Amino acid sequence: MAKNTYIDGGTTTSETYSYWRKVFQRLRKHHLAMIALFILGLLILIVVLAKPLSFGNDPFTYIESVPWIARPELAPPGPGHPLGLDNMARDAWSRILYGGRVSLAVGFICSLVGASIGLFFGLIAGYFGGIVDMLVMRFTDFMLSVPVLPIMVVLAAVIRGSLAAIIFIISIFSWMGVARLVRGEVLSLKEQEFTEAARAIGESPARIMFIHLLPNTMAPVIVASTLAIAGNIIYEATLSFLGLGIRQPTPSWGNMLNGAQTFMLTAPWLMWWPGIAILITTLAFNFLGDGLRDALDPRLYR
Amino acid sequence: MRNYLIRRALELIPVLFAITFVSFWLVSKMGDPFATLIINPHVRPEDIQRLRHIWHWDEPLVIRFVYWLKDFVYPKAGWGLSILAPGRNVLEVIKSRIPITMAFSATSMVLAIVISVPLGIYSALHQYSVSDYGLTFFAFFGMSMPTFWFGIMLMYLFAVKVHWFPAAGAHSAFLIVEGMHVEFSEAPKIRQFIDTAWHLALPIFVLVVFQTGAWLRYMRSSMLEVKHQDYVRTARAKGVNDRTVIYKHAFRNAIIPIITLIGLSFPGLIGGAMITETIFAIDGIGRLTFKAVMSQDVFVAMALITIFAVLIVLGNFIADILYAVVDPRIRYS
Repeated sequence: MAKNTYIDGGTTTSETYSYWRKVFQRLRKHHLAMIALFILGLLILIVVLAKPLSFGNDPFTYIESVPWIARPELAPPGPGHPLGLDNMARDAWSRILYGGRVSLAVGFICSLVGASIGLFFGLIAGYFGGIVDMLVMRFTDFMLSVPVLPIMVVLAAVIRGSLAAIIFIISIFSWMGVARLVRGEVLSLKEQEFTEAARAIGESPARIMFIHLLPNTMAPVIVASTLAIAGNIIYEATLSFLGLGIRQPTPSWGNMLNGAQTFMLTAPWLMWWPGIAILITTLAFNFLGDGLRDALDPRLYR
Repeated sequence: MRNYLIRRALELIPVLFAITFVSFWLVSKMGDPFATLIINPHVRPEDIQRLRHIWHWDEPLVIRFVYWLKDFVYPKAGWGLSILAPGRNVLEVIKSRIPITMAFSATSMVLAIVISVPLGIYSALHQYSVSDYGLTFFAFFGMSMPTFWFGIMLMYLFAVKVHWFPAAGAHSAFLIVEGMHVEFSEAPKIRQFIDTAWHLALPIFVLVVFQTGAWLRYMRSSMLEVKHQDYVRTARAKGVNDRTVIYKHAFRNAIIPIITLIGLSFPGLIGGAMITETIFAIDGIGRLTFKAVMSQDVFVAMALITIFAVLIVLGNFIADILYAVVDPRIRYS
């Protein structure tokens, strides 16, 4: 679709343009979604500007001493360290900023990978039908019947470590919804005239699927993926909290809470902000997803 | 309908088989459960070798799996041996943990439904009102909240800051009955119940907030959809009063998707129980799962994962059936 609009301009351009413009107009009326979008923009700006915003602190450096308390480990907030120091005497504020990069990136990437897998499976299942459909849907059923959290913990214990491993673990459990949605859409789309026309002029199945059908299934996929980002951020945080996700010294909002329960009595301030950061982010993504659902679905718009 | 059910039930078997095999493979990958026994000075290397042989751990994965599956279906050896609780078989260990998890999962689920259904209806009937926005915000809060953090915060606020609730455990070790310290198991039943309820209040609250969010949203959107249907308008047009329209015509149709969702909520419930039990140190199924996985207690982990998979699959199946039962328009063939 993008290619077409670029080359021949004309009607295609103005039509697609006006569709997305209408969507945006509807989204703008959705106040909560607009606030969410603003907050997300702000959050992304903050984590991108993590370095200048962290008051010259580095998230990996162990601080030797602070003037207001004898031991730097678990030091309460003070000048230069607005959120105090963690149990290894690292600046908590800068770790929140850099941890946000990790948490947001994991959320985005997992959602993107999940949506791609889901789109692929949904397209082939819906388009080819028959045995392909049967196999893909049985596999989807299988994935949906897996007790996700226990298996994620097992997987994380088996493939310990890297950021890529965590992204892999979360992604493989976040495509089933999209696959089902896309399959359903394709089943009805492939009976419509434009698909028949494409087939009649001899276009290949791959071209029909990815050029003609895929763009038409995007609306529900965008909604599902936006909501999935929130879920994935929580999965990452939960795994990291349990000590199985992002590993030290790399900060993430989840692993900053890893020791929180242990330090609850001595340093309660440490457990507030990572959790609040997660909550704000997931709330914003959920509100945005909800707004997008209303904006992208003309039937709901009254 | 009956043919459909039989076909569906038969389709579930390969799915379950696949899940158990893949889980078995993954759990085996975590490490050799018998190797951890070496820490115990009373266990000789020969004993470990012998145990390994008894449990077929010296054979290839597939054969080991077949033996395990056979024992799981006909539990002669009680689903294997638990490394964490030596001397007891897995079946006993799991059986002793079920009541507490059942108690607090079921309570939280019932509470969540009882709270969210009327609130969802209210929200839908007063769409775009202040209370609708308030409830919407609450629902999103419940859905977006990382359960583990919410649990920790509640524990900090209500058990550490003010001592309204205990911080951990499923019950006290001792109860004071008529001025005397009595062991929990010997206290009167009613006192046991009150003490357990007091201990489980915070974890139940966490799960209720988490579940209420989603249920409330579902109920609201379902009711909104029904509210604008022709038959509701017809009912209004023929002069039926508002109450009857809402409860007789709209509610009955709006609740259909919600009923079916109960069956689909099991995975979330299992994950939620695992997290809350671990945080609040409640010795139930969830905490057992986490501990078993973390300490390579293969037989316990496998038995639990299989039970969960069966529960989820059954939940999906029940959702399918309920869908047809509550909605006569749906006919399976």
